[in-house]
Amino acid sequence: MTAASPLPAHALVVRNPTPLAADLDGETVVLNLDSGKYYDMNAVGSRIWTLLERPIAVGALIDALVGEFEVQREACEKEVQAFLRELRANGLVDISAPEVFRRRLGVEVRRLTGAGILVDREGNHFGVNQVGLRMWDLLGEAISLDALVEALGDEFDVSSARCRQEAEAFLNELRARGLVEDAGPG
Amino acid sequence: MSLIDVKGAGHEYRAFGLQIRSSLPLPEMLPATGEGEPDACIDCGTVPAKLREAMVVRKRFEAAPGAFLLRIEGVARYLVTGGKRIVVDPERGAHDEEVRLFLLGSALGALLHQRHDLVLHGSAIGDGGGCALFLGVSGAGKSTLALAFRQRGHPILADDLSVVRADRDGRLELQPGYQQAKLWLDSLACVDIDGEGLRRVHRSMDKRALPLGASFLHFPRPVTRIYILRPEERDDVHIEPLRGSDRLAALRSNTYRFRYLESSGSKAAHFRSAAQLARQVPLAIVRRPKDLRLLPELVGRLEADLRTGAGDA
Repeated sequence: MTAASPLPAHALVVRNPTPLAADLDGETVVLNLDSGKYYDMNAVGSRIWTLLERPIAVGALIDALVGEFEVQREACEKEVQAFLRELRANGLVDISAPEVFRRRLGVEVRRLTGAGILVDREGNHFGVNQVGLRMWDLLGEAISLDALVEALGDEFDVSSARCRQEAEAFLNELRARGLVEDAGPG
Repeated sequence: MSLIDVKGAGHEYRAFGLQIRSSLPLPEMLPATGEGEPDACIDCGTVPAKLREAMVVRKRFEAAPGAFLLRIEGVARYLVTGGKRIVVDPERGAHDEEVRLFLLGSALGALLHQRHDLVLHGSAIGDGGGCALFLGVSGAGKSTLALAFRQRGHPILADDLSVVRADRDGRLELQPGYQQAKLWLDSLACVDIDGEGLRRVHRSMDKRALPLGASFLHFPRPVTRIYILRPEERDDVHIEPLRGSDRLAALRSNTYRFRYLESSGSKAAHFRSAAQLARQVPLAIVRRPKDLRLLPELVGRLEADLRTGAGDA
């Protein structure tokens, strides 16, 4: 990822755990203890900061904001891209957009009829349907999103666009829950 | 029965809610009331010119987590450690008043920062069961305004250093400071006090120490209102409530010796208590003309605002 190219929709944004934040009438002030710098965020910036409480993909973040604020998607994307870059430049978030993914070791899978449950090391449960379960199996080896979509399209009767959308959302969910990891550059 | 005082040469005082044992007499502080171990000690001794572990080095001070060194040329060096101890090393021929001026200001301020107290730059007056703070840069009129309120029967809790600390229930309280206020001669004249007979706080400054006497309120009070004073080119007084993140920014810029917090290890604590105070207490900017002709109107407007809390907006 270079500084100039836009962050891809599947790029995962993770808040740096050290900054302190305070909410004042819906406006967030953040102190980065590493640099000693303060950041005053407006209402939209504050909402983004709140949405970043859990790791979230750039695309999911934009979806959420377009649903909440009266804003054109294109304008929103531009603003969010710039804001996230600024957060990253100031060491407030990490953003990673791996090309290849793999399921994390130590996650247990319980198979039921037509569905399954993923259980992480802390004992958190995450229910998945039949397609999700198949994706989980495919993630046993390092695989790109394109390859995932292709494999699923062959096996299930869905359009390629829909398949990509769902696969990406599912993958982001898995990453946000720490069930899937970056398998390095493709 | 012993003829020798086994406690040794120490004076016991209280200020900012702390018991302070000092080998220097500090008439600015109230004498201690209770027995028991002091929270902080002030002693004379040798202070090095540099702090070995310094992470921040400036012209007049050096700082590291838990250690702070202040150098005032012609007066003294001060070493403040662990929020518990100040060692004063006066220069030969230094005046006692000046040694105390920087001890009770910058050095005590650094000690309070180390203790994770919120130290604001301003005066505090009692109002009903609570207190109001007047914050602002030097020359903003904080002490003058406090004295004007004193003339109208309000007690004074603090001058210059206003220390806020949470009580056992987490309620933020202003801790009473010293039983004196420091004012320029012309400011004293504004409140009909002839300062000529009063002690100078510094040889080269026409600032005088005014003992507060019975008007000093030596009990903590919850902070109920904060005003930031801004002298401007204007002819009227305007009170404007602050909202959102501006409230925290105002407390930040009116923190006593904010730059001392750099590398002190207290920045996180400062952030948390300032945010709590900003959330709990109404803050307003008070814009006033630069000269003090409108002082009576200013006091009147603030008294009205204290009653209603509405501001001008």
